[in-house]
Amino acid sequence: MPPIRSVLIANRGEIALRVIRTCRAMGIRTVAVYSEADAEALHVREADAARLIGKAPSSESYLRIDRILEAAKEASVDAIHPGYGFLSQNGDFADACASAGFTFIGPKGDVHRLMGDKKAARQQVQKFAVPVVPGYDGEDQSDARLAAEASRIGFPLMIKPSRGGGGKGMHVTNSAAEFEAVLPRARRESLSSFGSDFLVLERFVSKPRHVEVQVLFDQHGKGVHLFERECSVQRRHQKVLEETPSVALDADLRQRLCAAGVAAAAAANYTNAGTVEFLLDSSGEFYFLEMNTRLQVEHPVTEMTLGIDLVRLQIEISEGKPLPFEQWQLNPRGHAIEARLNAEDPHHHDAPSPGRILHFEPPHGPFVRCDSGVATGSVVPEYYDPMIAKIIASGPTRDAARAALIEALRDLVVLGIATNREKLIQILESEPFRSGRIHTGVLDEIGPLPAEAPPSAEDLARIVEALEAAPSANGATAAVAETVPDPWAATSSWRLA
Amino acid sequence: MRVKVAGHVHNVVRKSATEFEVDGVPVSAGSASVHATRHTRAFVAREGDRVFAQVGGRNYRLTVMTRAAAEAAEHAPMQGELEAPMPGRVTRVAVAVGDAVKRGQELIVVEAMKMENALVAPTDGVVRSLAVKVGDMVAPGPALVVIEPDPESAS
Repeated sequence: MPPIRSVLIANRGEIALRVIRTCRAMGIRTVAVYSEADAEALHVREADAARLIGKAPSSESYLRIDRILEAAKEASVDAIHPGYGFLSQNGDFADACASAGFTFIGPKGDVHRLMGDKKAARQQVQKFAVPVVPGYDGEDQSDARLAAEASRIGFPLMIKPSRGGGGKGMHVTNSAAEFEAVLPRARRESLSSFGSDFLVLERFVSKPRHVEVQVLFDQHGKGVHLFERECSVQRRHQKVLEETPSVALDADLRQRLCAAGVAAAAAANYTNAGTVEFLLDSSGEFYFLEMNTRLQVEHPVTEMTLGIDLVRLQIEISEGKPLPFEQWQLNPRGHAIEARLNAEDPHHHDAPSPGRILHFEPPHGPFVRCDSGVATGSVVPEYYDPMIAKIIASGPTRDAARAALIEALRDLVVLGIATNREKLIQILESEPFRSGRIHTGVLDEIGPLPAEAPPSAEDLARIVEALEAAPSANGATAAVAETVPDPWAATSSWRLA
Repeated sequence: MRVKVAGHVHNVVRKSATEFEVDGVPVSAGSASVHATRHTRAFVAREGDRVFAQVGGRNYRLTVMTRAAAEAAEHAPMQGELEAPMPGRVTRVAVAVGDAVKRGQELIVVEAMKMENALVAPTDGVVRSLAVKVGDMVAPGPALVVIEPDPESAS
């Protein structure tokens, strides 16, 4: 296969920028696509070229296969990187890219279709001795049949869209009555998010951990795992904090889990980077959840502990190159934790908070990485996922990584929209997270962020002082000020130490 | 300067280069000292009357107020007014003007970023006004629905 010299990135936000960064390092030309809502977005500015593909709603832009392929032809790129979300797990998109003559940076269409179909995926991995959770994924989707199956499987019970992913549209019910009440909404959300109201029912494992295995398969049949990530801290099945290694695994369990991850991927004839997700219960039993046939949001923690660039490896695999290492050569070092920064208001039920970012200051410092899709002046559109940046910190131990991440989140400044920054600090400082006693429901244990307390009189004075230093502004432009300590301007006496 | 934050109006007056009076009590802003650190540094951004601030690791939203507005705010009655939690599209309206509603009842659903956010009645009462219909784009600020609390129900 010829080398890839140019890549169109069929995505937006931080992941588009992440892919651009690696392409640049490899000397690959990048082409961004964007919707009308993203005309000013960072990924458009950072790419070597950019093409408008449609209106703001993703169904009219980032989900339009025809428009993306048209842009790829016009820009005459060699390859297409799908990022995560949007079309990244769409088998028809992967096929359409290939038949239009573009290298799709990811697995083949039928692999996406197999793993995207929860039922087929479970059946397939079971053949390879990978354990699955008891459930129902039959064709009969009538109310009566679903209710009967729900009683058979038992409560608590999870309802999820068969075509879903990323936690959207999933519901846990605790009784037959609750099940009946939630069912119509589950169907509606599944239909609006994934274009199908076909649902899957599953036993809900109480207090499970979410542990996943990163795998990498080249086109010559060779595959390795890149160890696990634990993503147990979740809100409504959306990951909030991710880390590697998992404190719940000893050497033996890690070895068995990672082997199951490789087996599940091999069962699908997998190529490129993928992630096999498992539920791990308190007794050390694990069950296959699903396979994500793409790069994950949380891939940086693996990169930090292994010292590898997963996007580069994805591109090299797509070029037909063999994996550059053997399993035994992969030895993770230390610990890494990622926090997802969302445009949402933790004081108002985590409601999304789109709008213009008036000031953005990423954190700095050793062992800190910030993958951001925004900067000062960026607009966070209401149409897309609320995640705007990821802050990742590493250290020799979990506690060192945790401390570094807390410091980084304190240094991070976001003004103009609400974010979950303070919520992330609250979780990282909480007893359950500190001790590592986490599970997918741990946020209910940690509780909500304390009510919005008024600032102290001193802080109020500092705010007004900074405001007075800012040039006056009207609605059109924002004034930003920071009170910088300036000893030369101080009236109180001081001396050099 | 009068600012409203966390539901309260405060009067902040500069007295000298480093001294302020907050609601009549003298305080030092402290940022002009050699010991000022990240924890006492204030970052602010102002857009019209709206102020976003981050200081001491905390974020605040403030409103700069005129004297008249500050005085009026002190006497504002709390009605059962519901505003949109975020900009979005109204996907469902489950009540009409005149309907009796129970506390916790779903009134309106606003969808943004593919999430449904239900606005529920804060109290038992009657729908006095309704300002939206399905398909409307809404943003925080104006009341979408006003509930007249049932005088017999203590919330």
